[in-house]
Amino acid sequence: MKRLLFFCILIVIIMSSSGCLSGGDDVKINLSGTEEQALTLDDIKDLPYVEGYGGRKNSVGQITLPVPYKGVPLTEIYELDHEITEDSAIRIIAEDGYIATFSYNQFVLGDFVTYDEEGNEITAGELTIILAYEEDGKDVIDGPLRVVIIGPNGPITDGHWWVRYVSEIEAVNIEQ
Amino acid sequence: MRRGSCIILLAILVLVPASMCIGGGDSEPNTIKVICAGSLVAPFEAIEQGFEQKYPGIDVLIEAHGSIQVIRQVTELGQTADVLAVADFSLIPMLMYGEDEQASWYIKFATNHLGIAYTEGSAYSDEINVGNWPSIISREDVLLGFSDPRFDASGYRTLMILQLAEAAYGDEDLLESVLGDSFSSKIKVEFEEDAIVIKVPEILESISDHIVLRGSSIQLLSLLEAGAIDYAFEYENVSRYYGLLFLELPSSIDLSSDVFAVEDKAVAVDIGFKRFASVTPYFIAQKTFYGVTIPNSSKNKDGAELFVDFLLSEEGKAILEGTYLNAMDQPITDNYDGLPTSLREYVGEG
Repeated sequence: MKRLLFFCILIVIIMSSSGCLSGGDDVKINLSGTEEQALTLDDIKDLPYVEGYGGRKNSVGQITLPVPYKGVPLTEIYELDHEITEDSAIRIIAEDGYIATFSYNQFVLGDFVTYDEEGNEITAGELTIILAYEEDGKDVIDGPLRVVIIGPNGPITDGHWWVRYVSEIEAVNIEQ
Repeated sequence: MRRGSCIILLAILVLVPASMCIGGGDSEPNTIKVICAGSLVAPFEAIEQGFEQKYPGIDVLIEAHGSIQVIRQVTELGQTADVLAVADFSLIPMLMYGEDEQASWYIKFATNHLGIAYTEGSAYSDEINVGNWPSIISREDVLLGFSDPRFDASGYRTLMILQLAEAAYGDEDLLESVLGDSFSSKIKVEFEEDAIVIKVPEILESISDHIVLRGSSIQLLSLLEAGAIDYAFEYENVSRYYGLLFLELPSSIDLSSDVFAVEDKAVAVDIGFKRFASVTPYFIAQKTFYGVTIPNSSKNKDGAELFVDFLLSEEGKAILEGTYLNAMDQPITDNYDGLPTSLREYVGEG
């Protein structure tokens, strides 16, 4: 019976520590598709970071109010291996198959539609798009890495840009 | 340790972490979780009210997303749902049939069509009609709301309508006139052997004041109401539900008829922005049918059948019509024999 009990506790520990997590510490960011450029979560945490509030609105108008996030600006990651020009774009690929591509205007200039807490469009201050690893002082819930848009006044932006479970980043050039 | 205590401890140790991993939102036996498309929110809230009045012991939970996301909640994001309803029935076989079968039938239960929504305050609102709308919405001083075709079915359907209108109105530059040089990367049209294909670039940004681009057609409603735009392509039921003026377009272009083609060529939209790994973003113009199914993973199949039964019943149809959605007199399924028996009385096969 003791052996059975030990076995069950072991199962519980395994389920609690791995089954409920998405990813873990071995998440890699593959910039420009070369394995040599892969970054671990720890590598990303070593890059210069920013902090700020951000919230999101989904396609049917439901709003998740702003909370504080901490992470690395996408420009910082892009510039690890590429020079940014006006033709630059950045493609984010998630573990669950979701993909979003951000234009220069978005990932460099922070050009996004923003809303107030009632969902009405407003003009927000300067926005920064980051690869967040911390949400409200804890690990990102839909992470360990998630694209998040932050700003000094806690902007609310469209949820389809908030890519969760980020697994790959590609630098792309867009022909205008 | 006594044997009884061990069993209880084992049960706690196994069940507690397992329940932590399941996540929220799973159906209880007395709840029915329904995930539906954004344009079905108002009709399904009305259906929910009618259903719960009829079956007071059952709680219907409605959650809404874009149609592709509706299905992905179950197929890729690990959610459990009892009923799925989408604005494009063809997404159900595309994303749920096959080797890893997650549904085996769908029922087309309602139709809709797109037209132009506006208000009395819209520029040229006293002039616009079914004959002159292309020239009105092309005017530089008109603010046209445009739903992003990369994210929203009504966005790519709007492009189909503009392309179909070129033939219907005898103006081969109509699409170009409406869109002009409004986007940083141009939307191009290619004439292929059996299709006219509208190519949407991966990055689509408005660089003019004429086109106001938003992620979904629902977002354009508040802009219309606030006078921030003059016109937007919207579904009829949504426009009427929100009290907007609605210009109906000819049935030959509004995606409400059975066939849409220009000189035997299909009209299609090819989107350079592959938003989901599981979806090839190539859409062909066809009649707008809403589709409903019960996923194989439903935790409350009896409740789900009861809900779909109510949706298809005369009572359900009347409720849908009350929210300006066109309920089909004879819903159609692709797999009559695969349907739950209780639903067969309502549908034909096709």
